[in-house]
Amino acid sequence: MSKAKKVVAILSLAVLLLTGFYAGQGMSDMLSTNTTASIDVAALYENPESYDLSEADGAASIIIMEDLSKTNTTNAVTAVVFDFRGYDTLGESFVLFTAITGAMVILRHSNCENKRRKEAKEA
Amino acid sequence: MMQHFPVLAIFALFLGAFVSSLIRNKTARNGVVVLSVLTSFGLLCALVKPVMLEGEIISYWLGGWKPVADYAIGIGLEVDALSLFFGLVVGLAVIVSALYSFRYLEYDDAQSKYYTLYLILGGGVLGLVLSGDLFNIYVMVEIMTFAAVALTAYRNFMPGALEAAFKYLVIGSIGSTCILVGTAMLYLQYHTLNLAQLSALISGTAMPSSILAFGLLIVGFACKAFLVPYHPIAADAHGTAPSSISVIISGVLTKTGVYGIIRVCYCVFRAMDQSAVQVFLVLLGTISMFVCVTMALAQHDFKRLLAFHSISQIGYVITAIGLSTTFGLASGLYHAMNHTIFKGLLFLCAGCVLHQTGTTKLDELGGLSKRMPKTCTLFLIGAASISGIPPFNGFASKWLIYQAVYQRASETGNLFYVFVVLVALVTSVLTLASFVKVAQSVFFGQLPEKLKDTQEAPAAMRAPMWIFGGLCILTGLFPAVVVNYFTGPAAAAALNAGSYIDAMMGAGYAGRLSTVPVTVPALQINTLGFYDPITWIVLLLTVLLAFTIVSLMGGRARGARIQGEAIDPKYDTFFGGEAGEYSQVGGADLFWGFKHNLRHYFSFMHGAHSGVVNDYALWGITAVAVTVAYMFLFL
Amino acid sequence: MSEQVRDVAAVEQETANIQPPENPPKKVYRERHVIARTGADIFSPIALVMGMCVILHGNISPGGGFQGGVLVASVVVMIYLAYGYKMAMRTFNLEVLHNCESVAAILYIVIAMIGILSGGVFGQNVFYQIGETGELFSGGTISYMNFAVGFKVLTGIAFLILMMLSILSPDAEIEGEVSEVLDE
Repeated sequence: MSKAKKVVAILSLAVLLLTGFYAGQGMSDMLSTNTTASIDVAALYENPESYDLSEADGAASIIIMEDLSKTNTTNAVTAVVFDFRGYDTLGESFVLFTAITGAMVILRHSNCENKRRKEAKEA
Repeated sequence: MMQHFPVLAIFALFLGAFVSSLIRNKTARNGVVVLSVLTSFGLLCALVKPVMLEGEIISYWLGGWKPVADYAIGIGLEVDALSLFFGLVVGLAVIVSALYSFRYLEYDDAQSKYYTLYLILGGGVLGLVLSGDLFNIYVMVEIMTFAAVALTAYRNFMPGALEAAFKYLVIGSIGSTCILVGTAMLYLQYHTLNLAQLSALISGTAMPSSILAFGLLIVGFACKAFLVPYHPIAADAHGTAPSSISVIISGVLTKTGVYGIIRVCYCVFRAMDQSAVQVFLVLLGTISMFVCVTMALAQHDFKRLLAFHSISQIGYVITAIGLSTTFGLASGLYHAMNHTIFKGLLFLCAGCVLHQTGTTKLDELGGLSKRMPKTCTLFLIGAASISGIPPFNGFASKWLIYQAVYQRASETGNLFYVFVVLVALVTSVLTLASFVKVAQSVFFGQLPEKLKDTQEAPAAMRAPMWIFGGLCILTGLFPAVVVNYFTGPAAAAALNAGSYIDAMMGAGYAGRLSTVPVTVPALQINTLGFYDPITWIVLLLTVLLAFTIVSLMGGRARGARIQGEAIDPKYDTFFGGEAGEYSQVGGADLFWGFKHNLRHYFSFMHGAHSGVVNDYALWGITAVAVTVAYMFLFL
Repeated sequence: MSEQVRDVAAVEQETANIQPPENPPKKVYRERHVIARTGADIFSPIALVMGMCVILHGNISPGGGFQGGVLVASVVVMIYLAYGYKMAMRTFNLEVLHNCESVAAILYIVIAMIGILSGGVFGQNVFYQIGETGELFSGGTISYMNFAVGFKVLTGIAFLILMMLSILSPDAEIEGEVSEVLDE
C-alpha cells in the first residue's frame, strides 16, 4: 500500500477503536442484561407459575422467567430460537438456502459461452 | 383478517420461490412466479385504503407474544404509511421485472435457480420494509445481499461478472457488519430490539453507545444504498448483472437503504431536529449527486452510466430527506418512487439493446432508432423523465425538491442550502447532457455495419416496459394526487413517531416514557400553484406538431438535393472541407471539451477508482470512521 | 544373407504366436487405505443415528436442528474420504438432495401457517400443552420446526459438500498397482 493509504487506514482504525472504548466504558457501569442472582432456576422448574415480573429489567429476563410455563420445553435456547424469535430462525434458514443456491449458480459451467461462440463463428 | 395481509404478502413470495425450484416444466414455473408476485402485490394493494387513506397502523406480534410488563419479547411487524409506500414501490418493480425476464432469459440456462433467487430477493426486501424489529431487519438485509450477489454473477461467462459479485459481497458485508454492531450496541444498552420501544426509551438522551450505534446504523444503510464512498461497486454490479436484476438493484435495494435511514433517523432516534444530523445527510446527498454525475460522463458502457446516474438520483432523495420538513420528506419520497419507475424503464431499454445486439459499449453502438423505433420511444420517455423535462414525472419531483431546499434556505438563512440548490441545478443540467450523449451514441447517429440486421425487441419484452412508461407519464401529469394520497401520508407517518409507538406497545406508552413531547405536524403542501402540467403537455404537442409539419414540407426536398454523396458532415475531418477518411466521432466524445477542462478532477477520480477491492474497502472503513467521529463531535 | 533370412523367419515365427492380451487392464480406482475404509464403515451409522437423535431431542437436551443437521451431513465427508469421489456420487443423488431442501423449507412455512389457520397469528405455538414437560413431543410446534430445520440443514450441507467436491478434480486413475479391482 502506498504511504497515504497506510496513514488513512491507521487513522480510521484508531478512530473506531477509540470510540469503541469510550462507548464500552459508558456501558460497563450498567447492570448486566439479566440479573441471574435473583432467579432461582430450580424453584422455577418446580413451579413455573411463580415468577415475579415486577423486577424484570429487560426482555431477556422476562423470557427466562416465562419460558417454561409458556412453551413447555426444558431447553430454553430452543424455545427462544424457535418460538419467541422463530421468524428470525426462518430467515436464517432462508439465508442458508440462498447461499447454497447462489454457490450453485456461480460455480456452474455455463453452456451459454459455447452457444455465443458458435453464433459468433457462424456470423 | 386484514392484519394477516402483510405476513401473507411476504410469504407468498417465499413460498413461490421454493415451489418454483421444484417444478421442471417451464410454463408451470412461470405461472407460479406470476401468481406469487401478483398475490403479494394484490395483498399490499388491499391495505392501501385502511393504512394510507385512513391512517390506521397495523401492528402484528409474530407468535402471539404480546408485550409483557412493558417490554416487547416477540418480533413485531408494523405497517404504517411509510412502510406501505415502500412496499408498493417494491412490489411494482418486482412485477414488471419478472414479466420482462420471461423473454429476456431465453438464451440462459439454470433459469429455475434465477427465479428462486429472484423471489427470495423480493421476499427479503418486502420483509425488511414491513418489519418492526431491529434484528429482523438485519436478517432480511442478509437474505437480500446474498441473493443479489448470486444474481449479479448469474451470467458467469461475461467478463468481470465474478469479480463484480466478489466486490459486491465484500463491500456489502462491511455494511451488514455495521448494521449488526449497531443493533448489538442498542440491545446492550436498552435490553430490547423493538423499534417502537427503542424510540420511546432513547428519546432525547444521548449516551455514548447510542451515538456510536446511530453512526454505525446510518453508515450501514448508506452502504446498502450505494452512497458516496460505496458507489464504484454499483457500477460493477449493474454492468454485469442481467438487466431485469439491474432494475431490482437500482430501484429496490437502494430504496431499502433509504428506508433504513429514514427509520433510524426519524423514528428510532428522532434526531432530525438537530442541525448536525440534517447537515450531515444533506452533505452526503449533495456529494453523491455531484460525484456520480461527473463519473457518469466518463463512462463508455451503457449500463455503467445508468448505474452512476441511479446513485446521483438517490443523492437527490437523501438531500430532500435531510431537510426534515414535511414538504422535504414528501418530495424526497416522491422522487424515490419516480426514480424506481424511470430508472427501471431505462435499464429495461438497455436490456433490450443488449438482447438484440449483444453489446452495451457506447463505442460500438449507433443509429439504432432506425432498426428499433419502439424501444427508442420508450428510451426517450425515460431519458426525458430523468433529465427533468416537463410534463414527465422527473420534472415534478425535482421541482418539488428544489422548492423544498429553497424554502429551507429562506427559513434558516443559511447559505449552505443555497449552495445545495445550485449544485442540484448543475447536476440536473449535467444529467441532461449525459443523456443527450447516450441518445446520440446509441440511438441516433450512424448505424455500424455489424448492426445492420438487428431486429426490434420482442413484444413480450416491450409490454412490461409500457407499464413503467405509462406510469412515468401519469405520475408526471397528476403530481397533486400522488403527493396528497401517497407520499404525504407516508411523510406524516414518518414524522409522527408517537402514534407509531402507541400502536405497537399500547396506547399511552409514548407519553409515559418519553421525555421529549411527541408532536403531530400538520401537513400543508402548497406546491403547485404555478405549475400546471396540462398546459405543458399541450405546449409539447403543439411543438411536435409544428416540427412534423415543417419537416414534412421542406425536409424531403433538401435531402433529395444532396443524395448520393456523403451527406453526413461527420465524414469531414475537423479542420477543413476535405473529404478525408471516415471518422466515427461517436457520441462518446461529444463532451470532450468539458472533460478536457476538468482533466485534473477526472485524473484524480481515475486514480481513486482503481478497481481493486482493497482500496474500496479502505474507503468504506474510512467512511465509517468519519461518520462516527462526526457524530461524537457534533451531537 | 541366408542367416538374415533365417533370423527374419525366426522373428516372424515368434511374433506370429503372440496374441493380444485377452483382458486389457480396466480403468481402476486406487483404493483408499483399509484403516480409512474401516473407520468410515463403523462411524457412518453412528454419526447418522447420533445426528438424528440430536435433532429430535432438540427441545429436551442441548442441540437442536442446526447442530444435528451438520452431524448427519458429516457422513458425506466420511464416505468421500474412505471410498473416493465416484463412490460418493453413486451413493448420494444431487437432485434429490436439492429438492428435499426446498421441501423442508416449505414444511417450515406450512408449520408456521398453522397459527393463522387456527385463529391465532403467524407462528403461534398452538398446541404446546400436549405432552408432559421433558417428553419427546412436548413443546408444540417447536419440535416440528426443529425437525424441519434439521432436515433442511442436513440436505443443504450434504449438497454443498458434494458440489464443492465435484469442483475439485475427481481422484486420479492409476493403472497397474492396485490390490483389488473394482467394477465399472
